[in-house]
Amino acid sequence: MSEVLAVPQLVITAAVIGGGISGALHAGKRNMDTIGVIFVAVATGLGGGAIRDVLLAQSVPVFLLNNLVALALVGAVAGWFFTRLVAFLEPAIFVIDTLLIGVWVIVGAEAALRADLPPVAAVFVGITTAVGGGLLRDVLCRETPSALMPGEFVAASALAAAVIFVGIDVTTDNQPTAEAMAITTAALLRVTTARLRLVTPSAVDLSDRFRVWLGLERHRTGSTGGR
Amino acid sequence: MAATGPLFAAAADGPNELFASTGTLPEWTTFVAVGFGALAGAAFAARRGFDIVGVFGLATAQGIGGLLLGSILLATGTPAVLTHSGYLGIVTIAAALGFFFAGLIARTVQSLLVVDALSLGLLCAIGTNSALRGGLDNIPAVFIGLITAVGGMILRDILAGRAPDVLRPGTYIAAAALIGAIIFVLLVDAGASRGLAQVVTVATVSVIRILAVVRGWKTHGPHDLSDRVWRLWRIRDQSEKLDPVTRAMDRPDDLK
Repeated sequence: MSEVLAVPQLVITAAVIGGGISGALHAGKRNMDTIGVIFVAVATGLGGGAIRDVLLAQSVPVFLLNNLVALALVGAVAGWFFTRLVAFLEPAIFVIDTLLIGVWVIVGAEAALRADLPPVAAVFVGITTAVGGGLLRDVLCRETPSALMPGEFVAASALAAAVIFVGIDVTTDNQPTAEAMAITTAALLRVTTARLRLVTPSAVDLSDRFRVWLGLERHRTGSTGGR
Repeated sequence: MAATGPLFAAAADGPNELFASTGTLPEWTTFVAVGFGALAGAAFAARRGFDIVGVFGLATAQGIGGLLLGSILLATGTPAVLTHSGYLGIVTIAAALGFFFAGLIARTVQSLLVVDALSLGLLCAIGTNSALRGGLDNIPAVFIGLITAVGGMILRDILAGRAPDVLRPGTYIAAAALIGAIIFVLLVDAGASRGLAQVVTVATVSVIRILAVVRGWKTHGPHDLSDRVWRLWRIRDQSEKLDPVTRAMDRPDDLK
């Protein structure tokens, strides 16, 4: 099953260890015990890939076929015992994390396309792979997942990368270009929006304007949702 | 192992024929159920301040979550809701609508109780049917039917970081689906055709659900019968405020 990971093994290693560190830091701030930290770290590091494999149901999940769990544990130990060292390395982690968004998207979307899923589903699986670890981490910590709330452009970058990767790959069949474009787009989008301190857009409710436009009611002053 | 269910079969089966073996309920009913769930999930997310990915994610979770969970549990290849682009296409449209017209859609979803009830019954029937066709026993089939019917709502609430509404006392949703799945299994056991069982299940579940809302039926939390059982063979000391079992089980620090 190792050919499912077309991305270099070194990159996957870094991604899993990075996920483990991030999970361990997150759990450590929330007063979890050792088992809790290990659980959250492994879920963060391997969650995205595991969800992808369960969704595609093509084989036994990849992380059970090799030693990825051990890598996530390495991340857990690093985050648990060397908290300050990791905090010192924060900028480097941000850069790596930014580059990895696109990688995770490719890991997911490529496997989905190979499993003959339609483009929409490939985009969905790509995003899920990219943010799945974070989702699991937040659910285990009993928080509203940060990937789904307004904030940093992590999931939104993944969305853009997935659309671009699947779009280029399906239309031109030129996979290396698609991969490069996806990673670049995600990284650029994330860095630019972080620089400009932008926050992901939350929903705008045009209902009242729509009703006025339909002529159902006159324009109201200061109406928000009608109640 | 019997033949696998058409819904949860691999993509090789060609176009999605949910009820191919029966021909009683048309395929678009599933799309309506998925679309309705996705609209509800999108409006839910939009009104609670989720961002664009959150609206898409919660719409997906509530729209196809139940069918996804059902087919993952049955493990019959890549889930049909992913291999047929129609489902995720509908979810995407619903998410876009919810992103821009949350108020309108929330009101529409609330007023369309009949569609809500019908889609609950439909998902329940699909899940139970596929489980039976996958060769599962009756009780596991009821479980799969229940998961397919309410799994979407549970996933949505988990992703939104709250306790699932479906599992709390008060809402008559999971209870209705449970009854429907049991009826389906019993009918099939009694020799009724799958088509008849599906129609009866959809009808029962939706009637129960609608009546529960209209007549105000509520499900209840657990009753603790421990003390009553205890009293059967022990005469209570009148001076004690609490019954022995309660005293033993409820330490003060557990009581908030």
